[in-house]
Amino acid sequence: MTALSPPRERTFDRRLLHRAKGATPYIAVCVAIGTATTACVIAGAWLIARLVSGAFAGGQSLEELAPSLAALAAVLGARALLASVQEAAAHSAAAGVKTALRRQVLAHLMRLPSTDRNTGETTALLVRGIDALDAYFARYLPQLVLAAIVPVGVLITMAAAYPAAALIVALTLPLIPVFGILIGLYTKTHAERRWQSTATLAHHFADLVAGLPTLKAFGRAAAQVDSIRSTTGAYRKRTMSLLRVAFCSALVLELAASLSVAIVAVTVGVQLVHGGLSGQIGLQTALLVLILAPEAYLPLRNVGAHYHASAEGLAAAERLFAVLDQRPEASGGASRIADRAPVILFRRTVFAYPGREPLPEVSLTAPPGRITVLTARSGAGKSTLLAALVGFRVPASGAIEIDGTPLAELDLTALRRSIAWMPQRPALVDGTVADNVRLAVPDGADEAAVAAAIASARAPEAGRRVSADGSGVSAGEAARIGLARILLRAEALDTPILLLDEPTAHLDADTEQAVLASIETAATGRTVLIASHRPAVRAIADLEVHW
Amino acid sequence: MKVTLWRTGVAPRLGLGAVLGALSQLSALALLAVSGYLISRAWQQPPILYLMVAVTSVRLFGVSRGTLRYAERLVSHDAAFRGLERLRTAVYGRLVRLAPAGLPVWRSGDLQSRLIDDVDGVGDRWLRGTLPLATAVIVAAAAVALQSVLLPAAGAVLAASILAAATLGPALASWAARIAVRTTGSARADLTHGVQSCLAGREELVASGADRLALDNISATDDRLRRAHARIAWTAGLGEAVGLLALAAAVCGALYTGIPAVAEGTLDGVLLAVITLVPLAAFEPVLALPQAVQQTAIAKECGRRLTEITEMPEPRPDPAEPLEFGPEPAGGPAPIEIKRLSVTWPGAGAPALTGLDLTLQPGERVGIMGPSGAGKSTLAAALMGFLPYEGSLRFGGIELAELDGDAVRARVGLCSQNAHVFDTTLAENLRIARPGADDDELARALRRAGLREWFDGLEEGLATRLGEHGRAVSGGERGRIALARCLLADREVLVLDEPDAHLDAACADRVLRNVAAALEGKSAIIITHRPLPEGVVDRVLRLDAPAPPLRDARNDPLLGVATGM
Repeated sequence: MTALSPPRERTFDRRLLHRAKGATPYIAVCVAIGTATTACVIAGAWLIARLVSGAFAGGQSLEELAPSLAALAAVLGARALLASVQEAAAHSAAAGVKTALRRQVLAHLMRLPSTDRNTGETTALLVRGIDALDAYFARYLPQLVLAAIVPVGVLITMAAAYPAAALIVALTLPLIPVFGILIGLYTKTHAERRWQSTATLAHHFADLVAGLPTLKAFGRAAAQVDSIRSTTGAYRKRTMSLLRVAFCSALVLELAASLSVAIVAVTVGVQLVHGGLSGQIGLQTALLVLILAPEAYLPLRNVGAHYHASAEGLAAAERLFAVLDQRPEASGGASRIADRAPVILFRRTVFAYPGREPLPEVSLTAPPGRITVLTARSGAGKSTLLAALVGFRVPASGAIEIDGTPLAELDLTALRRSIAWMPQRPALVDGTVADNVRLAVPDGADEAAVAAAIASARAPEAGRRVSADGSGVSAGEAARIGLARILLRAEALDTPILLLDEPTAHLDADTEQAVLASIETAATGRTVLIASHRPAVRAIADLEVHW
Repeated sequence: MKVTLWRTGVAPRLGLGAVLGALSQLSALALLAVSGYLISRAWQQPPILYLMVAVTSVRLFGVSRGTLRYAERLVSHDAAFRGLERLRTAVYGRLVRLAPAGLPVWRSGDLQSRLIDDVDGVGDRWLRGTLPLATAVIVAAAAVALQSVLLPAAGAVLAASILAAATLGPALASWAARIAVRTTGSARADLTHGVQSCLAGREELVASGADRLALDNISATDDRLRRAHARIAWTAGLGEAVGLLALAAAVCGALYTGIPAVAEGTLDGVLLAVITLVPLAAFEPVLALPQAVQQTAIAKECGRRLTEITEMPEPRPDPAEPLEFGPEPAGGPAPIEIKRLSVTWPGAGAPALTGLDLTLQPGERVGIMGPSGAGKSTLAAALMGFLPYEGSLRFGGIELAELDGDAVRARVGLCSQNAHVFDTTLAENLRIARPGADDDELARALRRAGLREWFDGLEEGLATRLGEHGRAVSGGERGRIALARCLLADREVLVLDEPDAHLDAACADRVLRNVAAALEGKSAIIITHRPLPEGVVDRVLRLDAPAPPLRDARNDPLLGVATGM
């Protein structure tokens, strides 16, 4: 909702403009429109002053003043046109920048190692956060350009017309950014923490909603209403105490603007009384100065107004760059494995997760063309072992070799292409079952192969809709979609390695038998590693490894 | 969503905000008008004493504009935050009624965006929609009144141009918003959802090389969103132009009517500057109207999506006059009697479970086995009072439909396949079951669930954070944490849905034996795929897959066959 002002020195993020394609020509357009707008503002004020003084002081009639009135109409009309062109240009530029940035960050995220990164928060950053940049590009940036051009033009005109008034404006104008910076510095850390707490709040809700069935089962769902109330209540109090200070920058701005207009009016008025300015020209000058004075502050006020809307986007940009600065996963070496079933060797490998005792040491050899079943107890690191072969976990010590080549020396992309890996909880995407299975072969698989894989894995019918959070399918059905996927991949890409993590969890005995028969068929001529303790799975093993 | 804004003090605060905002804008108008008068009058060189009132007012208005605006912002933001608090808890409260059977309708990404973005969107409506609108109306009325008093013709011109700007600008804006908001709303939800599934499934997508494909899909959605936004922008630009053109008409119109009036003597020349400057100030809030209207339209769409939640029927409403469990009969707790039970999920064409008969004596433990899709988990949901049913399901002689859902769940505990592990500490995850439990009780429950070694290996013990969706723990551990939680809840009847999934046989047997010992004297239903070890259950009931949906399920013969063990 309301954004706070992070520090003012961050108002013009160079990285944002460098990374953004099309941002430089867009700024050029903004400058051109800004200059033309300034000209319109000054011409408009001059014409109004001339018309009023002409009629009042000069006693001129409407006929005499008609050309000036027509000119005023034209100038004000041109200003309206400029505003709408600016708006359209701004939005098309902003939209392009956002789409490019989102894709860039998401693509980078896909190459970053899985840490305990929070999916809900990252999603909020990529959607809401980047969308918030809209306000920065479309509203804030053009106003910033105007704020740089209009006051200069106005001050020069005022100085030429009546230097004393120009001096008043020139003295008060710098107060605004100075106070802005001071208040911005004060609220800086708070504003960043607020984005953090907005994200935490979002994550808290997502977690609560996902866990609603569980909470309800324990009769605790209603109690969370109080927790939400107190969380949001505390959030409101924190935010309001910060807003009291943050809004001060706007207060300073408004006070400076309106007080200096008042001072200009009084000063000029006193000059007129004392005859310092006289005749029609005197009145015209006085009116010109009066009309122009607020125009010098208006763009700055707008910058302030839009800054609040864009601050959220800037804070998000900061976090996006933090993501882009993270180093991607190592892409491995240059070696490749041969196109036949390899020997897979784990020698005294130990995996460690932060905050936990390291997992037990493992040594094993998976012979080529055989099915090796890992039957170690739950939590002993079976899934970790399989994920390590695909390059997603790196052992703390020990070695992994495929056909005698250390894993680290293998080209990771090529290696992954030789593997069909089924994780414990297969990822689902929105679409049909067939769409989900097809993901296994990104270059495209023929329909018959997809259908055959679905049939072999006993997966749900090809046309059934599945959504990414797994609704629409049961846990067992999701597992069989995952299985169909790797059967298809093994077939279509002829992968020499097959890795299956609990392929028959959630399945009844009959389905399990049918599925295992398909796995056995697919296993021919491949090196297969299966993590499972189910007796039926162990029955198809050529070799069992326990640790 | 109707939220009682008056009672909570939100509406009066917003009203005060609108008044303060209008006074601030009127100060700006007065500052410009009085300054114009001051200068014109000063040009006539009267004794300076004549100008003192004008000089003082100019200074006063110079100060009041900023301070009133500051007060307005604080008051209105506080009001909006209060309103959001109410709205958010109201929506969550509704979701509580709908969970879990009424919920799978929405994908989690969408639900999240509803709860956060849509609620915020409604809050924006108050601050950026309603408030500017109220301010604009007050200021415009005052300006037209002032102008009409000075020169009726100028007043008419100002009224006409404000009316044009206030209707045409917002009309353009809301027309644009209407066509685009629907597209952005769904595209945004799709985008949120696509990004989320892409991030969650990262490893599998990367491993299979499908990451580029997933990214392309997201870019396509993003592009849809971009085009929708561009459409809003173009018309917003038009709206802005319309406002500025009306301003031009108002200023030129004031001069066009004022100049002859001065010549004819119907308007004092001193006031010509005033009637020319009044439109400039009066238009400031009017020019903000298109954005306010656009914001209102967006908020309406947010409100509509929230209403979809609030108007969703409850899958199993609590009875209007619920019965209560009587005092426990002398012979201990009463049995559960299930007769010809059929259960259908909301929106499903065919029942997931039909014609089940089962009597569960107090202290008896029954195993339920059957193929995937036989309705085992459906039975669990019905027993928890999550779903409506046909047939009879009695607890100690009372029909479950006559009981409050919460009363049922105070007696029946469920350990489900997909129990949620919250992103908080281990202790807090367990205390959901029993808030008052001490650390020893938590540790005992973990040991009974077969997590002794795992728990002893945790550096931070009960304070260990389990991470999002329990990602920091393995599948088997997650299941056993849920089991520990269920044991801790200490319900009279316990339904365990596949407590042994993701466990090796030895571990599963050990856990099940522990559980059986812990449940001694309590009734339990244990749903499983694999044969249970000796002594864990008293008997086993086999469920078959339900009849094909084309047949009338109600005429099917009994599907359940009880076998003694």
